[in-house]
Amino acid sequence: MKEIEFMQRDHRTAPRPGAASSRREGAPRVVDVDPEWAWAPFSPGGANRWDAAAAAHLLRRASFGFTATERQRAVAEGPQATVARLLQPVPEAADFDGQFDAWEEHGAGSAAELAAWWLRRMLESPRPLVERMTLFWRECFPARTDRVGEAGLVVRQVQQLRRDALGRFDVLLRNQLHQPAVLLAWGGGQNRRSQPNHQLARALLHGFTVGPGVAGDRDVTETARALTGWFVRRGKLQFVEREQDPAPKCVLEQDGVHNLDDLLTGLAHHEATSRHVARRLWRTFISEVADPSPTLLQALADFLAADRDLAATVGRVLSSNLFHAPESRLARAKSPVELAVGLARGLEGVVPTEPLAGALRELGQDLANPPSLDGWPRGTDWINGATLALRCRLTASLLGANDRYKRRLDPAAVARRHWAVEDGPARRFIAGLLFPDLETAARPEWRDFAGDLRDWAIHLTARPEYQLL
Amino acid sequence: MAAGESLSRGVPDAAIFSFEVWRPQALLDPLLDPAMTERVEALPVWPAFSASPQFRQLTDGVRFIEMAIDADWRKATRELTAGGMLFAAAPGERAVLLVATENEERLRKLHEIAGQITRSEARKAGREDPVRAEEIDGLTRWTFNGKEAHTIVDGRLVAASDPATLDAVLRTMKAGEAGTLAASAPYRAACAAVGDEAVAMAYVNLRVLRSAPAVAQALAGSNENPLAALLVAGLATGLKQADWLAVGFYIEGRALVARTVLGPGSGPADGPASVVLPPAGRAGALPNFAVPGQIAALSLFRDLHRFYAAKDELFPARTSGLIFFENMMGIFFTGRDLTDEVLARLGPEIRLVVARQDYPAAAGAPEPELPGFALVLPLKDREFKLILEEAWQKALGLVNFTRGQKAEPGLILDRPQHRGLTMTVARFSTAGLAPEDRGDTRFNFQPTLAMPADFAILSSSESLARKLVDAVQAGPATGLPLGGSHTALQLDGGRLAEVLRANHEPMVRGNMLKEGHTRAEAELAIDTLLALVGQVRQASLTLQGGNGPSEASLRIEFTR
Repeated sequence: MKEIEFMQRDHRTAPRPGAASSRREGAPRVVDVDPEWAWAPFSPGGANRWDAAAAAHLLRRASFGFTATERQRAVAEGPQATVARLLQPVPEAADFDGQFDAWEEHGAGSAAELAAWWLRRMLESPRPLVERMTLFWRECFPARTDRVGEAGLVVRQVQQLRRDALGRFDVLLRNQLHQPAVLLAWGGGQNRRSQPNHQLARALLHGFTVGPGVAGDRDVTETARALTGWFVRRGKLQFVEREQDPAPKCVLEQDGVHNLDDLLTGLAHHEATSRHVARRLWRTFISEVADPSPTLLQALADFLAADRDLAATVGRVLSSNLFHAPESRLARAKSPVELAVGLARGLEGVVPTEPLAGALRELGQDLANPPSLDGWPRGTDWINGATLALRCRLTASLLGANDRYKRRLDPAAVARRHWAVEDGPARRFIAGLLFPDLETAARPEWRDFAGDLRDWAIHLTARPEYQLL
Repeated sequence: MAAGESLSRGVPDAAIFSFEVWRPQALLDPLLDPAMTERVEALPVWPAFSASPQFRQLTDGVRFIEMAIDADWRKATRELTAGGMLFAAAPGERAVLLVATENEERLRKLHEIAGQITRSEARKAGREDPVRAEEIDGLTRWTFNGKEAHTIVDGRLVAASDPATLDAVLRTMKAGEAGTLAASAPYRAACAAVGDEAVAMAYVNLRVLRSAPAVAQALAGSNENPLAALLVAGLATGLKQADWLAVGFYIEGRALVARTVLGPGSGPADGPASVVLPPAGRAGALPNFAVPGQIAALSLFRDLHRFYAAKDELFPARTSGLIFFENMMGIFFTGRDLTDEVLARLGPEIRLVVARQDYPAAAGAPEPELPGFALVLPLKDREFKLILEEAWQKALGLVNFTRGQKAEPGLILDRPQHRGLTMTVARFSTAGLAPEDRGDTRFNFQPTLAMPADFAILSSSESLARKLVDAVQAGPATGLPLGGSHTALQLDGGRLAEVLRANHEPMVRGNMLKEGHTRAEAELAIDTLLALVGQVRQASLTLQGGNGPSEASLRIEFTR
């Protein structure tokens, strides 16, 4: 990890004019720049180049990796047009999602299948940003399949997340609280008037909406009362009127909350909710090693709060000056999913996702069972001596070091498709695809390498900087 | 057998494994038959495979060789192997292949072409010429990769894993009978045991093989798992005691038959085999059932009472697990002693049947469509029927309670009549379910208990239980034991293919996830698998021996 930290520092340039940052010993750096500049659309010019590395940064964060063709297209289109295209619905997506929904529901017998189908979608989706955001929301609503008890319900929850991923936050929140999986995962299968469910109420406040440190015990109690009347019976949501507590409740100093709809409307509109979601977006798209200053975060939260439009907010982040600032590059550790799916997408292959789901589970990212209310670990928590070795073994296996993934990723074939036929050009092509952020001179030297292109790719993906996003 | 014997005369008796084809024509005839070509070309994978560059490369190569040796590949294959083939392996990763041809000139020509191809491939890869020839005692020896060594002598290709092994083989061939595999008593006994009708034989020197630590460990561990010991009892004992193992291969019409014989040294069974298999002089397993839609059937002779009574001696390390199992059984059997009050009341002739299920027309078939499984146990006394009925209903109650805890639908108990017999059937209700929910996997299960005559049928499927009641009441299938057999397995390839075909869609989806195939690739893979399974009409496996030498017989009959 020391080496990774070194690489991160190495790639950051000096703070931009007007920027300030402060850092206590051991605390994350705080980015304190002018919010107006930070969230303004990025316009290339001068030192801010829009080149292959910049396009790679955008595609890596906004989807799961990129192919050489996708990067080439992004470079040609420019940053704003690329973001607009990533956000835009595409006609083939409806058929794709319909087909996958049907396959998932037919095979929704187990958590393993749930994860395998989802990974397959990530590999093939015509709207990778939607899949990226589905994973983002899955971290926010991390219903564990083993607590829900029925994988099919979690499949439907994730499908709903996908449909709402770039819609409106208030709609997404409402739909999630009407998912049997979400209620069951937090013990909310029976919200009785005589025994309100505090566990679900706590998750709703601390996890799904306003975030930790905002709501007190009284808010939790009142929220639990507002949830009464909702039951999950035989996998279906039911409202039992006699079990509803009809008295008005007061949640977060807001009176007149009578039922779940009132509660969710209030929470979705609460300013702390916008800040909580904005902070999550920051950690996913901007940086895990630096925190935003309160004003910077508030500016993004205000934008989200304006009409809770997720596509507009995500688009704003992805096309912002701050997103494209050199400090934001390689400022995240790849999660195991990002590591594996990114590699497979980059090498234009579809790998067997059933064994892949198992390998990702070993690495701590079980898509069916997020470990906590915060989803999966983040940042450097993903990587230690043991997991680094396992991650390298996974990328080597994906690249065909053994037959576990049927050698479906073929760097030589990809290089050939992109007219890099001879040994030297092919090695440079693969290095450029895997390490787009390094200047050519800094890329690993290929001339001294003995081995074929597959070995070369394995060698490259074993380097510490490949773990960064 | 003459040809085979002559080839084994060239193999030192240190060989621990050999596989000899004595009558290559008998094996080649069906393989090289034009009907086989048609069959291969009818496989779903064929159009894609035959259009692939690899296939074109292969056919070009074959055409080139055919021109060079002036014979088509079918004729050349027959000629080059006409005198038989032998592959043998010895400790120390030494191996030898002998092929006796009836046309030495063509063999030499083919060898020359192989050398040219090897040279050309090396040149293309920028490597130095790997083909080396050396003249020793008037005989030319070659190597194509610097490791293996081979020569052609007296119309035979002799290829060895290394030059020293080739030396040993050539010395043995020159020296005559003494010290050869052909002269060794165990090998001769193995040849005699498989008989003159065999077209090929595999031979293993078990005495030497057992001295390998990994093999010794595997055999020692084979008795540690009670369930495994119960199933493979006899086989492990035989492998531990016998001096040699021979497998004879026979062609009988459209069937390939393999018969395994264990040589002397295999004394009376010990360990689990000594208590679960038929004692000397006692009849063995009953014939398998034959019910409509049957996919597979297994008939066993296993004395569960004696087996369980001896559990502490047989599985001392598993005592606590077995006590837990016994306590659980005590719940179902109302505290009765599992050994003396339950298992002692069951006969040793156990049968298992797997068959396609019939589903109610109104509900349709669930997805995936699972076959039904049924266990048929002989009852020694009819009073035990009530005890078994009570245990069965308790088990269903436990299932219902557990499912209820998870808010899952439970089973409804019914007592329908079939041919005058009252059965206990448990079904999941479809009442109030939307049509799309009626295809749930749970509708594959209607646990059924039926007890016709002196048998208890425990079935996962009501329709299978009814068919078995019919079969038991029909009589003859319950009749004569298979003399001396303690295990008889039958498989119907056509029916298995039918079930797989009914589950085509789930298999395709599974293939996509397991193999990373596209939908079209997955369909091709599954269709090819179905076509291959469909080539097998019937397969059967019989194990005999009990408290004497063990024998196994495998028969695979192909479709026309």
